[in-house]
Amino acid sequence: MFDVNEIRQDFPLLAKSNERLIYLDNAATTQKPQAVIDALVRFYTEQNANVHRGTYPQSTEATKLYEAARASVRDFIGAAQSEEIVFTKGVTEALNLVASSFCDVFLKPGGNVIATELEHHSNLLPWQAACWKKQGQLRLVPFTCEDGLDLTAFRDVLDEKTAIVAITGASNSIGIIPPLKEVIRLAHEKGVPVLVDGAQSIQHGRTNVQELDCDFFCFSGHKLYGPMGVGVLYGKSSYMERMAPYQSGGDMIDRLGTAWLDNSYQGLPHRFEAGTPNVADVLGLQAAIHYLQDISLEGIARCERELTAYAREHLGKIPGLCLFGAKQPCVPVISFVAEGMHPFDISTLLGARGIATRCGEHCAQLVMRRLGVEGTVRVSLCFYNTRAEVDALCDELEWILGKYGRRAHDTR
Amino acid sequence: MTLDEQQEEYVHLFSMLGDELDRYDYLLNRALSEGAAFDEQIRQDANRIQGCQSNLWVDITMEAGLVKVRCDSDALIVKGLAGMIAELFSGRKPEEVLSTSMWFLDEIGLGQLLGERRIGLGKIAEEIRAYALKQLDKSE
Repeated sequence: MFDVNEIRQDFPLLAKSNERLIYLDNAATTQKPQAVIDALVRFYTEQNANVHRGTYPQSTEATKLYEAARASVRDFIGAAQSEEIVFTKGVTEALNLVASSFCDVFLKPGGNVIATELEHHSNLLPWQAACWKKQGQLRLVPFTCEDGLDLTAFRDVLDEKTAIVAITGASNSIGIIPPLKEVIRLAHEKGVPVLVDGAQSIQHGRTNVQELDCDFFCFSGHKLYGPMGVGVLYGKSSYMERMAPYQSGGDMIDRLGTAWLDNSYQGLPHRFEAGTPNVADVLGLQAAIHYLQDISLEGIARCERELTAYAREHLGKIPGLCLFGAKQPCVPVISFVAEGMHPFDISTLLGARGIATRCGEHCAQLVMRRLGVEGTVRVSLCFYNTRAEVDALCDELEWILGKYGRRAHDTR
Repeated sequence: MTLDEQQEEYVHLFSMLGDELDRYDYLLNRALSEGAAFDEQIRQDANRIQGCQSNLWVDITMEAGLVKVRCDSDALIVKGLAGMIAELFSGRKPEEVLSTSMWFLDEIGLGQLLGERRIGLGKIAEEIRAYALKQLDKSE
């Protein structure tokens, strides 16, 4: 087990902040360890050159670094080949890429795509658009906090016309982890591929895409202690090779024909990486991965599990607070509402007291509708948070609710 | 008091309030002191200002040639601020409403929060100005 106080020294923003900062908004973005910041600075101060096809040492070296980072990602998520790793701007771009390029080929008119009510809008809207373009249907699998994802409903909507299942690895708004293995098994029985949106799951433990046997997996660097603006799409080559390019430009074309259909394209993964890639941030992401591997993902998972249980227990004791998602396996994301007080007021007051949380719909309106609320306060923890920070959160919440909650309730 | 004078008064008041928490405390108490001002007449879909994080409603009418603004929100901090905007513009002729801009929100030390497009407060002023303009057009 690592020492959290030592760990916090690795994160300049946590270690050096003059004002109190209790950062509990890790599901929005994580803080960056010095190793990541160093990798960014090193690239621009010592290594900067454009990658691929350069004939001078600086460029070939940059290419080597970039492709080595791809191999690091491959190993990190247990993919079979580096060619199956595409760098994107983030999960949003990865999801748009698959929804567009996959559905172009595999979604037939009258076909359908299945997603769940737990999804972030990023894993709904691209599919909605693809279904609209291809006269397909987007089917949604419901959930409850008590029983989780409704697998019976999933079986009912899954059929021979289903092109793909798109499902989150963990809900960004209430933390629920759906039964991915079961969903993938059921889908594969019908020959349907599954995409897992790993934006909220990748940072909380070991991921192995081959063991999971998902067909696509994506995540964002900035939620994994890496830089903003970089993400990863993993796709089995058996699908990726048959998908049309998503964006056109340099580095993705093989031979330019006289018309669009005469073109031939690069193989994987370059076909899906048009234009100059975000090399510095890719190297930053690699540094984040190495940093986490050094700490141990198992250790991180254990630490976060304990801290989340502690937080749920103590938040659960605060009168008037209603916590969601507690009865299901969850990542360290805790969403709650308070009797009589709007989430915006609570989150704003916490912010004024140096505690960073998030409030609102969390880009998950389907979840909010299912819970019957307009929004929640979301607390998202990670391994650099401490019990003392959770205690401070609980103290402030009790103070806020004690001071305003009852009066607010009476005026409603 | 002119629109500018009233806004200067708001700025002065907030400068006396100490830290950020005191300012929110003022806004929360201001909203709470309106008591059960929960008014179905205001909370109508037609009056709703699209926002992300809380509901905000604004009802603008004319009474004896003067603009009357009433606001409500389910978030108390937003309600407190919206109440200040309502107070600022109410009881004024449409010409006066259009005579100057609403600037006090940038000057009361809650800049970071109020810069958030998701709160929708700037839209209240836009709606009030649009309403005032329509009244002037009608009377011409």
